[in-house]
Amino acid sequence: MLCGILVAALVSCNPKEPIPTEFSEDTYAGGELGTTFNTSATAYEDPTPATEQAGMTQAFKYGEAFFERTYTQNNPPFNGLGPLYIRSSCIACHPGYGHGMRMNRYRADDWGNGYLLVVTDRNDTYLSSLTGMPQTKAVAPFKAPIDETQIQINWLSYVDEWGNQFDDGEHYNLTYPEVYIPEEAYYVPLQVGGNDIPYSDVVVRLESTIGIYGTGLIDAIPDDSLKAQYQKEYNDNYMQNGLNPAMWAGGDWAPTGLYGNTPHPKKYTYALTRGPLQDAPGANAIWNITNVTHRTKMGHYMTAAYAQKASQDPDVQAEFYNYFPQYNLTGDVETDIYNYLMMNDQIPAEMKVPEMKDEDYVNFMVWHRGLAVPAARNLDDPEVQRGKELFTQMGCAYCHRPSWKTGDDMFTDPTGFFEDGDARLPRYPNQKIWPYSDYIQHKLHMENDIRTGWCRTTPLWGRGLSAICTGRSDRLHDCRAQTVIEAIMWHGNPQSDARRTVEKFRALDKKDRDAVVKFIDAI
Amino acid sequence: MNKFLKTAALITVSALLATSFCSCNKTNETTDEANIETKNAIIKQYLNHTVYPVYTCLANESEVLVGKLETLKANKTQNNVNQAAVAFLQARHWWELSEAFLFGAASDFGIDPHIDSWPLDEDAFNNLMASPNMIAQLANDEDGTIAGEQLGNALLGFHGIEYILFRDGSARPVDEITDDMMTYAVAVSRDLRNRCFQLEVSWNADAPKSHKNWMEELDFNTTMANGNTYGENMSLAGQAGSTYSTRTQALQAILDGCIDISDEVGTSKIGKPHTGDDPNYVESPYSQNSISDFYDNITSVKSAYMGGIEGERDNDLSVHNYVKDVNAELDTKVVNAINNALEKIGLMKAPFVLNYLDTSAGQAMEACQELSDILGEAKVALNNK
Repeated sequence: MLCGILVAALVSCNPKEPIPTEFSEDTYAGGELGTTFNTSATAYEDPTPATEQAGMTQAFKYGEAFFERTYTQNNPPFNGLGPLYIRSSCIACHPGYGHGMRMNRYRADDWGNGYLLVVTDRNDTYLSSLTGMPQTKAVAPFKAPIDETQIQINWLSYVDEWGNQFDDGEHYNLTYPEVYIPEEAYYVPLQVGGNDIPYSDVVVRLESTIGIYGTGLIDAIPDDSLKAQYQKEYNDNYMQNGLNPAMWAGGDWAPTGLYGNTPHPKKYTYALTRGPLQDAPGANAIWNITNVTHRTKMGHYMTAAYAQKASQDPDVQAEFYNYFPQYNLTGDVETDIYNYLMMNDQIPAEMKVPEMKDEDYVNFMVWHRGLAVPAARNLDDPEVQRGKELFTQMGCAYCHRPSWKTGDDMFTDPTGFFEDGDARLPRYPNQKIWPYSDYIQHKLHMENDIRTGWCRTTPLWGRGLSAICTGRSDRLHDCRAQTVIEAIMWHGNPQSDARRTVEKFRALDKKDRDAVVKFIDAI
Repeated sequence: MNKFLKTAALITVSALLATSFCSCNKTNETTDEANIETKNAIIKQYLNHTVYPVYTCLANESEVLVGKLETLKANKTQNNVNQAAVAFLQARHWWELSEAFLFGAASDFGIDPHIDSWPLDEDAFNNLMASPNMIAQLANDEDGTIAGEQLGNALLGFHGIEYILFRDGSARPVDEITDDMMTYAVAVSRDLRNRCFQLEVSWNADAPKSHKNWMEELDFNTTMANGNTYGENMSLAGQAGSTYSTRTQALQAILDGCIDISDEVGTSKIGKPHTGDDPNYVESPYSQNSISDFYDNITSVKSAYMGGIEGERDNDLSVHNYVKDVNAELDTKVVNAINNALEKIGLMKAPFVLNYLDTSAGQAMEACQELSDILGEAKVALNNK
């Protein structure tokens, strides 16, 4: 049926507009089953046709609430917040369901602050005394691992080798964030692998959220197709930085390129830390951002270093039983605090009750898998078509791979909560989708770069609607780019994998540069 | 979220399959002068006679509420509790009347969750009351910014103030309200007022100077990334500098706002308690004002669709009139669905928190869902019109 749609002759309602001869398939960014034609402020929030056709619209809407609402400590239905948390709602990080916003300060409650603090040593190893996504909020009587009021974000100017200017004189701004957290802002000891490190070795960076629409479709890309893409890029050897050896071993996946004990490759996050969607960032975030437990995630998102520190804190000890009288299990307050925070085996099984009901978690995952991608727009516009031509010619499309074909989408859940291809969740079999990403990491060598320098190619689909859907259009991993041009030019470092493409972009006249931007905004 | 529901989606596909149709995903503006003028007039009417007056009243009533709470704090009498309760309901009324245009400032600046999060975090509230340090800070929170920055959404907004002023549908006895509670309520009301001013100033470039100055003093953002107010941005639809590449997109955004709240009332606000048998989803339980909230929400849809709030309405300059020109039968269905939803909500057995399983609640739920669906069809019918 889709083919019929694609080749149907169109008649423009405005006789003065050019009459297109076909409706191109790349309009359907999420394929027939995953695309919405909404272009309004809610374009990132729609259920996919697959969700509706499966009769899951109601579940989708119910699940949506668990993304949008603010969590509380104990007031159902949005209960379970804390003892430590990163945000009190999911949408706080994904404004309008899109990319996080550029911030001048770090406050968990600032709307649109999608930043996560990335705290490492100088070898890019995360501090073991902090959770990988550090928390800056705590419920009483606990104290946050990091005092966010002392965090400073400074935006610095960067001047590239071209003086931030094209040959025709057009100027662009390049700025990047540096984060400063004073030693006294850390409540926990500074440790890597359980060993103390000097404060002078601590490095802090920012990573922002990206849009969450279409993640169900990404899950449906077959492992073999992704493997073939890795093999092709490895064989082509175009990238001056090669491929990340932690992901690809030359002819096959590196052991760390696979998710956990599964045979499935990692696809999600800049750092490629997650595999199948059912245990990917969203499924985990409902737990580790808010610390709301559910059946597959019953512990607290917590480090032993924090639990030890808090358990020995006289202020916490003085108040703990007032706030948590039910956890006075041993009469030894230090022990009880530690056991509660770690939710370890010393806590009786009957006290470990999921804060999120199974039914709510299923609805949440229907919503997560069920988010549609906005259709591409204006693809018959000659300027957009010129931009598309250049996007391909210059090599942008090599990493920002335009399309993929999904498989049978018998998805898996490494946690075992859902069965393979579970009928309670929407599926996207045999769809041609247009995310504009190869889902492989590359290096751009940006000033104050992302941790490890390896960054998964971010999908471009739907980004042109960001200003409408979120009020902002900030781009790149720490929102350092505020326009498409800035984002492109941050790809231009001499050591960047995209260097040659940026050189070609710089050689374009303004009209053609604008056409490329228009194309990127159209898809 | 937008509920671009099955019906609407099917219509889209049907339209694509038709032999003669307009590309539904073109965002080029028409050059038909008469059509442009018509749409400009509808947008102008929508802004001047729906959005602006509602936000003006909301801003003003939120300021009245601050005053009433300050009076109550200074002089705790039952009469002052009652007056503060009336002021609360009045401010709440205008907020609910604004919920058909939660897109724009209310969403982009996170104002909706900031002032209307549900449920209230009662543990956090009790912890706050037990914290002399925080109470002391709130006591000195002259401009509401300490509350706004430090309490978090689950303690801010209408429902926090409602919790202080109401129980079981009535204003509370004055002797139940402590001084610390009033310190909290006043600080939260000041933050609420700030956010209501932000809504007003972010949309209306001609908002009162004093409100604009207050926003500047607090360093609140009141413009879009393109430097315009949301009203200016919509007025410029179809022109350079607007996020609406066509005027039709602006009309569809108006409909989207209506679709959203109709669906939320039907599916979530009424539907989740009713179908899920879960009273925890019932909002405004302390004042038992839920049914009025629902009615005001759908009235908000009526204002947006029919060309203005009551007393300022002009049907000739409305989305309703435009849809009627495109598809008269469809427009009639929308108008009927609006009236039906209002009627069914009006027939709901009160209070909702005690009668959420009643048949009348189910009928209202269905009426709101039907309204959302038919509005979705109207939105699709405007593609390239």
